[in-house]
Amino acid sequence: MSEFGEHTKEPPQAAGRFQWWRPLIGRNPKATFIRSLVLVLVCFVVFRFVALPVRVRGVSMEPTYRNGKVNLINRLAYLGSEPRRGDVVGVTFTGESIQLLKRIIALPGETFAMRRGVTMIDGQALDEPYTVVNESWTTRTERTLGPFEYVVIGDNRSMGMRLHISGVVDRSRIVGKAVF
Amino acid sequence: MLAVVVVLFYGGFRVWMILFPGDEAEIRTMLDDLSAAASFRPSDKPLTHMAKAGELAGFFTEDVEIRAEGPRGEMRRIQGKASLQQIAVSAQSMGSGLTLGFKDVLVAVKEGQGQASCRLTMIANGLGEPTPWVQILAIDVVETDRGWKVADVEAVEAVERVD
Repeated sequence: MSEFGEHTKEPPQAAGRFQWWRPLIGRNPKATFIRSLVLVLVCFVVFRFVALPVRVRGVSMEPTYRNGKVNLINRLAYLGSEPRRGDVVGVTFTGESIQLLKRIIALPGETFAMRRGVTMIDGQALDEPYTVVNESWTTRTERTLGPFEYVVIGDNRSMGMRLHISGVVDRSRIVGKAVF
Repeated sequence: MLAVVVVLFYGGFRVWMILFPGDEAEIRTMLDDLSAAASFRPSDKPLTHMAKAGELAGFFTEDVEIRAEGPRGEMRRIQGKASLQQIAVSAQSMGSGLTLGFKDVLVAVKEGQGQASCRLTMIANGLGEPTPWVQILAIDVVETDRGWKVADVEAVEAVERVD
């Protein structure tokens, strides 16, 4: 008989006696322990290295993401491809505990500007149906992005431009793509 | 048996770190204590405000310089420990509380020079603002005869603005 067979053998029990621990750990405590351990490990690996759970704080991504909503950042999203325009991404500060959740609107090599609330990419107006536009948003200069630079911005542009964290980030600070 | 050895080894390591903390551990502890001293509740009494402001100022050098954005994007410059203490008292008496936390702290100690540079993400909840105030801070600390003190604080923009 294999070891596994011995593990699953049901221990003798006193007839009619209620065993309070049975619903918690099952008939085979060792197997339950191993399953629990595997589950914990899988959760640790998934939520630490693959899909980072984040809670949205603030209003800068409304109406797409409401304050308090929980989301996941897929760290594997850009392993085989580069970030694309329209992707909502997590951007690190000094680590991954706190991230900016922003939308990519300009890609490496493109020229970005904002004119009366309209995003201009290489001189062409960008259609952004997901935004709340504020006509006061205007940049004094155009900015041509370097080979690893992206412009990220929130969808809610109803506040003053200085009150909104937006601008150029390096590719290395983009952690991954929002799942939902 | 192996588990017991591992637990004993880990326990010994922890005790060693508590008894003989390195510079980096001391700086991290100082920053934790600083964030706790900077936090206050709206229900605190005026005497508590004074005491907490004094405690907070104790983490800084006499000629400390702080350059940081306020929660509404305005640039602020504070020079000297005395100014900092006054601002702390007035901020506490405004009525709303503040919870300050430092996350993802990076510390680079300049060995043998009694100096270190830190970079961290500050998150502040309160001060009547509905959303947290998050900012990257670059902090220079120096070693004095009273331990590590903050000598310079500068806000670093999380993203490079296009104006």
